[in-house]
Formats: sequence, structure tokens, C-alpha cells
Amino acid sequence: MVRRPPPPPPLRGLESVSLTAWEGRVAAVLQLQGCNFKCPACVVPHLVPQVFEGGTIPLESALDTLYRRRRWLDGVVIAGGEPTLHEGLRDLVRVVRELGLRVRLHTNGSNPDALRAVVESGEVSSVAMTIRAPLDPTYAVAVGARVRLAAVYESVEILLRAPGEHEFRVPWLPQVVETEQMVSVIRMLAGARRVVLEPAPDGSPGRRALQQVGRTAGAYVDSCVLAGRPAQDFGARGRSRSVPS
Amino acid sequence: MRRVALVRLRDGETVPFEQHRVRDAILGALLAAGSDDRRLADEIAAVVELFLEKTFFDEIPGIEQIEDMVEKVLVDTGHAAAAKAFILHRDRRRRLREARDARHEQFAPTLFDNRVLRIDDAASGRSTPFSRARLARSLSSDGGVPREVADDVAADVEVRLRNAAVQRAPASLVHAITEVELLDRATPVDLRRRAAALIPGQDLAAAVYRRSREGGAPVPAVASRELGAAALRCHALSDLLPADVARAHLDGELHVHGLGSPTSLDAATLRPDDIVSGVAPGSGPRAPAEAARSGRRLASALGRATRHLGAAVVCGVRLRGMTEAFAALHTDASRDEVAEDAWQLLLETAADPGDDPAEIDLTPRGGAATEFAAALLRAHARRDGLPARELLAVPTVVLGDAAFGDAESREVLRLAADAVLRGARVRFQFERDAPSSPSAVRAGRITLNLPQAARRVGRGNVEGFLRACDALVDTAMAGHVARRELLSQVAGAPGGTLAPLLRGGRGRRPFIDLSAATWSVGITGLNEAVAHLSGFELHEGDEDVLRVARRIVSYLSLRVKEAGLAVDVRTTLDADESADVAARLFAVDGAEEPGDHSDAYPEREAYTPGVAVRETAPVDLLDRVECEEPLHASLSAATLRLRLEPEDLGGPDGLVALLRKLLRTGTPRAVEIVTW
Repeated sequence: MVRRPPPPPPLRGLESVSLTAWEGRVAAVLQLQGCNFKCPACVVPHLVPQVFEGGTIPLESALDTLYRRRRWLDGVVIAGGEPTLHEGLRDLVRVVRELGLRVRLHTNGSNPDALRAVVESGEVSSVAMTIRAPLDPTYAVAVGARVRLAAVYESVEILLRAPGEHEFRVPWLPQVVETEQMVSVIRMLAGARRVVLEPAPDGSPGRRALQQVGRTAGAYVDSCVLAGRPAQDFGARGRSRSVPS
Repeated sequence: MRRVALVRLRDGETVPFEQHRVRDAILGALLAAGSDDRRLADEIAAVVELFLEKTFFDEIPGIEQIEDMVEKVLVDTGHAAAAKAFILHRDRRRRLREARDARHEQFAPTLFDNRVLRIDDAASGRSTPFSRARLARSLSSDGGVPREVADDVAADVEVRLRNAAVQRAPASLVHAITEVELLDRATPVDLRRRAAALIPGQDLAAAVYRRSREGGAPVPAVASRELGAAALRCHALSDLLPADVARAHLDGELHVHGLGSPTSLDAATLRPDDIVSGVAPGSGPRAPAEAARSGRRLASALGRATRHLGAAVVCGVRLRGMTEAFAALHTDASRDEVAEDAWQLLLETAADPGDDPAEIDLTPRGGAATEFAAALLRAHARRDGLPARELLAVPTVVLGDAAFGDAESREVLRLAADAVLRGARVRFQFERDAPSSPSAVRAGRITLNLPQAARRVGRGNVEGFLRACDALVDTAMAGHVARRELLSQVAGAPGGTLAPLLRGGRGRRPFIDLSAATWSVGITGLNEAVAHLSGFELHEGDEDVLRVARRIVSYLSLRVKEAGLAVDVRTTLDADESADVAARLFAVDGAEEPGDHSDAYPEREAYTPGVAVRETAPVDLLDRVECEEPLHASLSAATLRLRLEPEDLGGPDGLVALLRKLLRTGTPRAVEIVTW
């Protein structure tokens, strides 16, 4: 029996230029429909439903935009939703690579098999994984859904062992994930090459509280910075390099 | 039988009769009816002329009578379709005339005729239609003249101006005639209290109470300078500039920069070499030797020279080669000493309130130069003991590939990016191949109002627009030539701030070589001009619209060079990015056609400055860059201005990534990031 290729992932958003999605690079962002989490602080709730009746962006049109913009772009960020839910993710990555652009994947780490396949293919240059809480019952509260915590841990292991660029993003969630929980997450990530501490969407708890988290636990990882403030590095590598301020 | 020799036009003027015009009108009617028989048109025209000779043998026929005759002959000779086309054509022309007359009637403030009489107010730099009611109101409220006398005087002033058969008159003449009329009536007016230089009272009061740019109490020095500039602007427009240039400025066809300081230069560059060689203004006999020994003394000498030079230029001084010069003095210096020198340089070069700030070039090429650049940016950010940020010199970071090479250089970029995110003004200049060496002095600048020229020629008429630009460029050149002669006279005359700079002294060469100076022709409002011509703004259209824009800019670039060569002036075409100039030209055009203007630009207060896409256009960053940067290729100076939300930059690294892309992928020469 001939096996049909998987359908292309449903493309719901195309941000043709972003300076924030891949820090230090000029990137475009492809947003895929569908997520298995229902995070209370989700900034793209319209991408959460698995099926969207309103239609999607044709892949050809998105690729055409990327092709026209390729001289300006350093790479493409594939985000969601949760991209690893789609079987056609690897094909999408391959097509973008054929345009001469690097690819970064944003994932929540709930699907380690798909993540391993993509990482081992060597076609993804960078993976950013968001860890929303310590791996305990808090996690289900922070993501609004039942989660197999072992799967999340396996994803962390995959990224820590893989040679490429990775970034763990740890967001603040008021009354659920605060200083203590963030420190706990960073300890679990010991040995990670880069951790980014993110404030909640409303900006809480402020820069000073996040800096305190960085000072407390940053030494467990190579680089630990606040989102949007890469100059102040609380990680082990950053502490050895004294940057005059 | 006597031939018809003359025709009376609709306005009463008599002109020679031209038979070919009758023939052309008949041919047009025949063509509209589907026939292109030129011989038939000749025959019918001959019949018309014959009937005219018979009917008007003892009088001069009018246009309407000739048209009636054409109509009658066409009908009588059996060309009903052509006659119908001719009647329809006449009717259409009549309606157009009526519409035009109705439009002009809104400017009809007089009892006598509806022609607009324009008053050139050189003090405010504007030209406005004469209004009898406004003059009467002003006499009554400001001069305390009884209202009925004020009405009478205003009417008589208008009669005198009309009788002089002028289409425009200076405001000073209106004031003088008004005073004569008041004296004739023995009206008690205290003439001793008349404002000097004819500056309106409200403008004087506004200047006296104007606060400085950085807020705080009103600064008397700023008021004095502003009022002095208003008087000198008046003098420049009345006496110094050629009449057609002054008129074009008043009508908003172009904008002559620096009228408030007509014997100043537009911009100048200062290098440390000028200090060391002793040609910089303000250098004492020992200054060169001292400046070559320590960074602090060099900063002090640069500050002195900047202040001297700043008094002789309109747009501020640009300090180049600073990082290299200070790096040479900092080979063994500690970090604190470098920081101290950077702080000293910022303090010494700070502008006075009301003046434009200087610009300091920073070239992070590694080593001590990079360290000095970083120290200056840190001092600029902290501002410990320094004047307000608006007065501090604007850092211009010169970016080559080396700027992204080592960690120290990247740190300089991050500091600059941080300053941008905090709302400070920082320019980034790209140095792709060889270091650029623009002329040290820009002597003068005149900006062309492209939207007005486009509106005059009508939609789609690109060739007509370019011809209109030809005339504007010629007028601008006449202005530059007049200014050059004035500066030459200043160079030869004793005294003044500019004379020592142009003459030199004590066996030294002059600081400014006027023959090597450039004269800039600026352009502004390209976006609106293209919208008039093509129907689309720069960001809305397809490739054709962008092609029109590129054609305009490249044509003007060549035309300006050619015009400069013709009068032996070194000219450049630049984008004038001044928001004030764009706002002034917008206001002048709006006063001319208020209805059309408010329809075309609802809720706007200025044209888009320079050759940029409209600031609020719904396009993303890269679309804006791709639209604008091809236009910069034909310009000598243009800055790509990008306005972004701080959140969209994602911290300094986002900005550094963007700058790296603009350097390696794009072609703009300079960029300025502005955060909302």
C-alpha cells in the first residue's frame, strides 16, 4: 500500500517580520492552528482549537512571501498553537530550509517523539521550549489541561542532549508560578545553555522580581536572561564575563 | 468688404482673429461626429468667416457670437451630428467656466472685482489674500479706531491698491497706506507705538512668553533670537533675495532655509585636525599644542570651536573623527580617564537653549576608539551633571562590518540601542565600502514643494510635473546664487561672525572654503506628489507607482546637477526630513485651496517629510524599507527613519539584528530609529 504524505499543517498566521521571536535575528513567524494546552495566560487563544472553520493561509502564499523576503530574513520561527501536533511539520521545515532560511521551533514539549524526530533530522537550527511550571501538579493548573509530565521531562532531556541551539522560556504566572516555582524550574534545567525568564502578559511581577529569580538560580545554567534584556546575564557564563554597565 | 481682423474675448480683451482656430473647432466637432474630413472643415470655416464678415462689418465680434455663427453654419449646411457635438462641447465648457468662477468667488472680498489681491507678509513668511473685513477688524480691535471709520479706511485702502493695478503687494505697503488714510481723517492713533519690522503684536507676545524646548521658564535669549530672526527674515525676503525667489517662498512653491539668519551657513563639519592645525574658530595661539597633549584639553578646544562655529551655522555642527582622535590620546589612559574625557566632550559641545544640537560621529573600530565610543554613550545615557538631553550632541554611530565583529564593538551597539529604547536620539550611519567624506560645509538649502507642483499640473501628467520641477530648480538656483553673492560680500566685509571663518588669519588658511561648499536642493512631500500624479501613495501602489517615484527623484538629481553646473555652484539633491518645513508647506497649500485640501488630507497637519512613506501607513518594517531605499540611491543625503514600538524591537538585540541586516542587505546610508 502506498502511504500518502501527511497534509501540510494548517497555517493560521504569518508575521512577515519580527525582531522579538528569535532574539538577535530578523525572522518571520508562521503560526500553526491547534494546541493541546489551554493556558490561562495564553496570548494567542485563537490558535488553540484544533479545527478552525474560518479557513487557513495557503502554504504557497506564505512561502511566496518568505521567498520575496528571504534576503532580509535570518530565519523563520514556526510557532503555534503547538507545531509538533502536526504530522506535516517535518515537511514544512524542509520546505522552509529549501528557501535558504534557518528554522526555529517553538514548542511546549508535550510531544517528545515528534520533537526528537525534528531535532535529529538536523533541519531545525534552534528550539525554544516553554516550561510553564515545575513538573508537579502545578503544571496542570498553569497549562489548563492534563499533561503527561514524563513527556515534558523527556523533551527537556532531548534538547539538553542535542548539540544545536536551544532556549527554555519560563514565564511568570501570578499566584501559580512565582519566584519559588521559577527557581525550581531552573534547577530542573541545570546545564541548559540558555534560559529566558518572561514576565506575565500584564508585565507582572516587574523587572526587579525577575532579576531576583535570576540571581538566585541563574548559576545552574550557562545563560539566564530576562526577556528583552540580553545584556544582563545571570547564568554561569554571564557571571564570568563582566560587562561594564 | 472688410475682413474680420479682431475678436473680443470674454474678459473684454481684444485679440487678432485667427481663422485656423475656427477650423480646428469645426474639425473637432466633425471628428466627434465620426468624420475626419479636413477639407470639409476648411470649407465650413470659410463659410463661417464669410458670414462673420457680412454680419460684423462695422463691429468686433465676440467669442460667443463666433461660436453661435459656427453652430448656425453647421446646422444650415446639414451637419446636424457635428452641430450637436459642438453644442454639447460649448455647454460643457460653459459649465466648467461657471464652476471655476464660483470657486474663485469665495476669495472675493471686495466691492469692485473678484480678482484676488495677495498680500506678502515677509515677517511671517506667508502670502495671504487681502481681506477688507480683516483689516477693519484689526484697526478696530488693535488700534482702537471706531468701527465705522475702520470700515471706511479699509475700503479706501483697497481702492488705492486696486487702482495701482497690482496683483500682490507687501504687507508694509498696506500698513503705510492705512496710516496715510488714518492721518487724512485726523484719527487719533499713536503711531509711535507701531511695531518695529511690522511683526504682528500677537507674534511678539508669543515669542516673549515662549518656553524653551526642554520646558521650564521662558528664556529671554530665545525670545530675542526669535524676534531678531523674524526681522531678518523680513529683510531677506524684501531686499536680499531675488523677487521671484521671495515670491516662490511666500507662495509655498519652495522653502528657503535660514532666512532668519541670512548671512549664516546651513551646516558645517569640525574635525580634530582643524584644532591641531589651528584653523578652527576660537583657537588661541597655544590651543593646538595643548589639544594635542590631553583629551581634556582637546574636548575643551572642540567645545570652544563648536560654540564659535555654531553661531555661524543654522543646523548645528557635526563633529567627525572624534573616536580616532581621542583614542590616540588614550593609549595608556584608565577607564575613568576615558569616561571623564567623554563626559567633558558632551558638556563642552552642548548647545545653548533654542539652538540645534551638534552631532558627534562615533566609529567603534576596536581598541581605544571603541572604548571611547562606549564611554560617551554611557555618559549620554546617565547625563550626570550634563544639560538636558535635547541640548546634548546627538551621537551618530558609524557602522562598518567591524562594528559587529568583537564583543566590545557589539557592546557599543547595545548601548546605542539602549539609548534608542529609552527615547534618546541616535543616528546610525552605514559605511559599506570606503569611508565617506561629505563636504565640510553646506552653505545653503532650498526645499522644493513637490505636492504643490503636482497639484498644478493635474493627475497623470508626470512629464508636466517634471517641467514644473525644472522651473522650481531654476528658481532655487537663483536663490543660491544670490545667497552666494551675499556670503562673498560678508567674507570681504569687516566684522560679523562669518568673516573670520571665511578669511582666515595670522597666515593660516581660512576654516571655510566657500568655493568648495555645497548648496543643497531639498525635496519634501514626494509621497503626496506621487499620490496626486498616480492616484496612489507610495505604500499603496504597485511597481508602476514606485517607478514614477524613482523617475522623479533620479530626474531631479540630474537636473539639479545640471543647473548647478550652469551657474558654477556645487549642488546636491537631498531629502529634506524637517517636519517643520513639511508642516509649513502643507499649511500654505491648505490656505490656498482649503476645501480640496481638507478633503484630500483629513486629520493631517503636514506632508510626509522627505521621500518617505507616510508615517502612519499600514505597512510593515521591511515593506517600508524596500519602498524607500531605492529612492535614497539618487540622493546625496537621506536618512531612513523607522518608527517602532519598543515592544516590537524586543530589547537592544532586536535593534542590533536589524542594523546588521540593513548594513549587509540594504542600501540606505543612514538610519534613525524612533520609538513611539
